[in-house]
Amino acid sequence: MNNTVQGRTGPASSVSAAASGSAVAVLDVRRMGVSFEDGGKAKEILRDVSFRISAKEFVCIVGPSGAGKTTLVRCLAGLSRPTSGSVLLDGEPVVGPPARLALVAQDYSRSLMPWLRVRDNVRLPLRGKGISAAEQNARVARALGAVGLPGAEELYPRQLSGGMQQRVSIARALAYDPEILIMDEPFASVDAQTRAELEDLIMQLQRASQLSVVLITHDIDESVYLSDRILVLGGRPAGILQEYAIDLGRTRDQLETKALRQFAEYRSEVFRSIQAASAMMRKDDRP
Amino acid sequence: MSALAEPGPEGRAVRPAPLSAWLRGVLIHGAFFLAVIGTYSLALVLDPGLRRFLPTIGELLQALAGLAVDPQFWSGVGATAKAAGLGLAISMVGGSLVALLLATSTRVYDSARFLIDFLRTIPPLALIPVGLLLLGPTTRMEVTLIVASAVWPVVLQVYYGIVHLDPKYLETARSYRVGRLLQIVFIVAPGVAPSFGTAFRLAASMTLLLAVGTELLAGSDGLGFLIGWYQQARRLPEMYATIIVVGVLGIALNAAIRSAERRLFAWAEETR
Repeated sequence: MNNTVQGRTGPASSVSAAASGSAVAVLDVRRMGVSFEDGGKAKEILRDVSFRISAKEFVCIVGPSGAGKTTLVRCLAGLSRPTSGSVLLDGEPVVGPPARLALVAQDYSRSLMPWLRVRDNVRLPLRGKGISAAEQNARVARALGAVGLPGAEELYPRQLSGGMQQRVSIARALAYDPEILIMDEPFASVDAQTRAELEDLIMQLQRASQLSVVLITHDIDESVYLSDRILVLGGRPAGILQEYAIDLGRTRDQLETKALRQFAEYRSEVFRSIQAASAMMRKDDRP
Repeated sequence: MSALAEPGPEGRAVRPAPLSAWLRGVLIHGAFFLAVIGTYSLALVLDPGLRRFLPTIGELLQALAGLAVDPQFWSGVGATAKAAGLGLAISMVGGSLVALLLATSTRVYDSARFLIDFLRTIPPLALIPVGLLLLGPTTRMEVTLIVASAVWPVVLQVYYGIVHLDPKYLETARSYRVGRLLQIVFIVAPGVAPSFGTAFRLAASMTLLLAVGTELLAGSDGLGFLIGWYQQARRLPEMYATIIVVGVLGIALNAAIRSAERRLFAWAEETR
């Protein structure tokens, strides 16, 4: 274990704490660390993770697999508690799933209830919160319209394609009316064409609202295409290794943006950074 | 989203089978049934000696008609239905409770597993002497024996239904701050329901078999008792007629539950 800590080199892990300054932070992660007890041995997954997400910001977190992305998501979403440090949402410490945060998981088939119709799936988070039935239905209809599935209320998830099911889980998140949306590899289980459509959908939804989005991905193109900012997660234990501000404007296009020289430059920078992170982690994994 | 108009290939379960397929099914089954009756009648004609212990189709139909107006027969149906129904209800409730208990922790399950495996492999009829010894030839004994056997498939089915419920569903609900009660109503109950349905179907068939078997061997009231009684009274057509009634009851029960399952749990079709 000691070895691992000493072996940790590369860019500083807390580079971003001060970096993303100006706007009011919606989400503020401060020196967060997570360790697990694994067969009597403490296993440190995350150390000193610090970053801030501002209102209306689109941030992608990329990193090699096994870097602890899912652990990070669970802490942001209030499903797990960090071992040290803190996660603040609007200045309040996150101790459980917050009301103004919605989570979209990768595996739509395991997050949409197969026995509920689309309406009831989207509506489930609205129940028991003092929202009238009429308002619930109106929100469901609006959210389904926003994701391009108007009138799908009566269908069951299995009657929809994978991409459409993921649209339903996005609709469910929107109907919940969050101020921050956490997406854990949301497009990893759909085909390339659908993926591009969903990327544009989520970008367009974010631009049209006050929503902050944190999207976890291992796809570098996707991260550059979508982000205002990219955080590279890596190391053992993992921390934020690099941060890139992506200045490609707010209107982006699958063909034009990706053909830009700047796009290619960002892409290779992020790529190198992730490669370095993987190499470092492989080295640390050696006994 | 024009693709919305055409549900995926899995959409099939919602649509009923076309009429022609249904008709073909009826014809095939009907033809087979007639062939069996024909062969049977032919055998009786060719070897009249068989008629000592086999009734003709005519006698059988006559006996069935006789049973239909025989109050003794109907009270037998009532007694069997009562014992089987009671046994089924107790097995479902008790089995589900045991399953819930087992699902509380893997340690509970691990320690109970051997006992359950042992108990459920005892041949049901082997318990009849014990039942007779303790309770005599009563409905209570019959229900006890039924439960002693039918409860195990319920325990296992419901237990697997609970532990195989994907925790992701509950976690999703938790991330959206869906309360405990709503989680039970919208996730746990519907998620476990198909297993409950399967348990019900298995237990229902078992209870009918056990009820009749117990009645026949232990002499408690019901269709099984009537079968034995007709045999001793050498009223063979009635004996066979009663056996046929028991068989038809079992098939009808199974088919009814299956069709209810298909309608209620259409969403789970591809997972089973």
